[in-house]
Amino acid sequence: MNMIHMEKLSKEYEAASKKDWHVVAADRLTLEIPAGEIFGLVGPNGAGKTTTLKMICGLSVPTAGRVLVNGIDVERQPEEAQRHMGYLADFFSLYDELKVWEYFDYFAHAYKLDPGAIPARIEEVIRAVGLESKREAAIGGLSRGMKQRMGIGRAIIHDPPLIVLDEPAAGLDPRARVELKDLLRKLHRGGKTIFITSHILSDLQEICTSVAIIEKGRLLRVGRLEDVMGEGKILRRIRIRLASAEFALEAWLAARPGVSGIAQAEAAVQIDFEGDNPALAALVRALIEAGAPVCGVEELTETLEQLYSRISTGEPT
Amino acid sequence: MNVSELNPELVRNARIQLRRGRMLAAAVICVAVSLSCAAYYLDKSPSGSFSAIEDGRNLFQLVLGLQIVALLIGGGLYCLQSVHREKDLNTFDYQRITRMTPLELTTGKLLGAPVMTYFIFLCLMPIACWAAILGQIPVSALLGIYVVAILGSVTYHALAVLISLLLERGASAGGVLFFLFMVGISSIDFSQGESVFAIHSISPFYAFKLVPSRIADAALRYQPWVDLGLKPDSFFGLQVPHFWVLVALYATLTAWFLLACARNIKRDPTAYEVYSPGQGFAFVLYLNILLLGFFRWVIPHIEYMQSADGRPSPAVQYRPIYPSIAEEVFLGISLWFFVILGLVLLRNRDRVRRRIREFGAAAAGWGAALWPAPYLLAGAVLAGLGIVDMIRLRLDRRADWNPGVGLLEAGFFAMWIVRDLLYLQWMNLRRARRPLVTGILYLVVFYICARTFFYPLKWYGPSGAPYAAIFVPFQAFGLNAALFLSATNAWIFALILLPCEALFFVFLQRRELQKLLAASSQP
Repeated sequence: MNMIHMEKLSKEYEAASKKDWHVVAADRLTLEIPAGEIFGLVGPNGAGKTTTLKMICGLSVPTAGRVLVNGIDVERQPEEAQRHMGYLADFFSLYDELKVWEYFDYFAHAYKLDPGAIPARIEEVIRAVGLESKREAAIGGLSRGMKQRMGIGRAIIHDPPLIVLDEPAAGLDPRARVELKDLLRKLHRGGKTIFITSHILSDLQEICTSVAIIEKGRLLRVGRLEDVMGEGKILRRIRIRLASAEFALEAWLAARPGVSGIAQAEAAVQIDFEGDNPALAALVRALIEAGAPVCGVEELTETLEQLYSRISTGEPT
Repeated sequence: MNVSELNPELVRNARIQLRRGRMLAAAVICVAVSLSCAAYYLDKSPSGSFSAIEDGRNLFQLVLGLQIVALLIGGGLYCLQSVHREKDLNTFDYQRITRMTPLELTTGKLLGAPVMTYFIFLCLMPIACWAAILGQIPVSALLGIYVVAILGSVTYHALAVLISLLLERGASAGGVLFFLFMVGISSIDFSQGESVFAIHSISPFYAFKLVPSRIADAALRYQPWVDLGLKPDSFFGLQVPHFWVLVALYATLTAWFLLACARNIKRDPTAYEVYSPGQGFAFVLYLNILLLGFFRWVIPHIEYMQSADGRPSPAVQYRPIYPSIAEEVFLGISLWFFVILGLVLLRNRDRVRRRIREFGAAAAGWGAALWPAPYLLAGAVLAGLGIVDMIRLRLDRRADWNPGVGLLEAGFFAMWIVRDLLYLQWMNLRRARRPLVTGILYLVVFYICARTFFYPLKWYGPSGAPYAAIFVPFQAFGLNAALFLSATNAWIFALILLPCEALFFVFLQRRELQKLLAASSQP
């Protein structure tokens, strides 16, 4: 079952304040996100991430196309679809004058939860976001990280299966980021589907199960994280480190099949290797049998940031 | 039942504004104000004397004034912030995606945003009641006064919430000014009685006039409180006390404003549509019926009469209005209602794109290119027929006016609105940064230039008026039989040319629609 189904979703508008006033924020986006995923949407500022999120949440009307959330058409039945989702915007405020429990109480009633179950649900959410000690505190006095957790608490107050988060890590210090990631993992383990955008790609790489790369309203790559990371990749980059420089490693490697791009990198040699894991194991075994003092072999994997940079600048894979 | 179950938005506002400290501060200030007022009264008035009653009434009026200012202006300012501020803080989207119904969210803001001003209003009630007792103001009058003050304030609050909803970011000052302007024109008689409408007597400040004066006392004791509206209004000839007119106006206007708010409050702000075409049409008809129903058919004017001591004293005199003037005044005011309707109906590029997506090529055909002419034409024709018929029934026939000439004038009125709104609709579909604003500016420039050129062409005189009306149709306003007969063919020619001008803009609009259709079908 797909939690989100986008079909040729487009959004065009005239932005009076911009130099390039005719904006195509989303250009026929087609995407399916199965339930239970943590899906990351990556792209530069102005790529259309927030617009896409808002269209998923029914906050922005698409120019064309449609979005289904949990099988419900967001444009036709926005209120029904919104029961199935929680949303956190990129730049947001809370009501600083309210107390923590009052804030959750407001949204619990606004989401029409069973009045009898609301007090217990509020306590549950306060525990889930780790604000037990701040229950009676005014929101205005909370730290940025705590406010972010309040925002997530609000998004899950009605226990939706889908949580949509726009740049939730923006402006957080490293500790708050770690806490946020832990919270998202906890929610994911609890069966939630999470749709998230972030500029901090290392964080997304850590928590996402699937990603999409968007630029100028168009999707450049979509899929499971490992598939996107490995997409189009034939050669594996391997670094071999020797204990001493006596063995003529470069010459030995040059004569081996599947090895190319040999380069000296500090005290090691870096190669591009074409082959699967058994082939790599055979290469290493042969190297040791040839008398090379091998003290380390590591595969250099590309980070999401490098991949994104490569794709967005149009470098070949 | 938990208090939050009533209306979460109302409760949220109450929780934020009615914190113990704030309530205490407000109550202390109100007590201080009340004591100052009471001290002033005690210092001035010898107890039990006749002037004590007058002073009690004066004190009541002072407190009532404070209450109305707090509730109407203070509450209105809170309401002006109610949506706009949430949009600025990025909290509004969270309210939009909750399961609160649009009406629930709107009423929560309408009653919740000014909740502190209601509290201040209540804090001033003890001194108001004391003053009312001293002033021997009957309970029935007191009830009427507070019904007008509270219901009227709620109506203005509903307008303020609607303004707040429609305001763009950074335009809050404009919203405040517009609100204060609306309060001003509906509270202050700028014409000093010389107007065919009593628009200044529809704000809650009218409650002052319901405070009985010494002179009115005798009559008051023998009349039920329903007759407190002093001078009855005439609605299509039916005498209705102004109090009941106000209650009906407040109820209906609040309903119209709430409808507009509830219709849009959970929508994407880029897709706001104040009313549906049918609702907009009904609203304009409602306003026109009010205009026609309460039309005075007399022109009040100040005349200085010789008094007994030989000095001239001013007095309001009434003389019947000329039919051509009546039609001109009615159409001149009604025009603004249709301009507002037209602006509400205009479609922008985004809306047209969505329509093309929904209806395909039909949304870019000739029928679509006529938009918004059908509603405007129907409404303007109805309004024109209404005024001509009312003049026929209410005013004496005069040689210089007949229904035929009246209908011709109404025709110019209808075609003028249609032509200019079709032009604005075309402009609004063009690729430009602010197409509508540009269109309105061009229109203003056009009228200024046109009127400037009329001078050398001598089109201001009776012989040139029909030619001027081809470009500036309000030259036909105030048309009378003599003027019409002096250039019959020219007037008819001018009226025929106006639809041709409108069709030109239909053609231009269709061209824009076709461009959008072509863009939407590109792969």
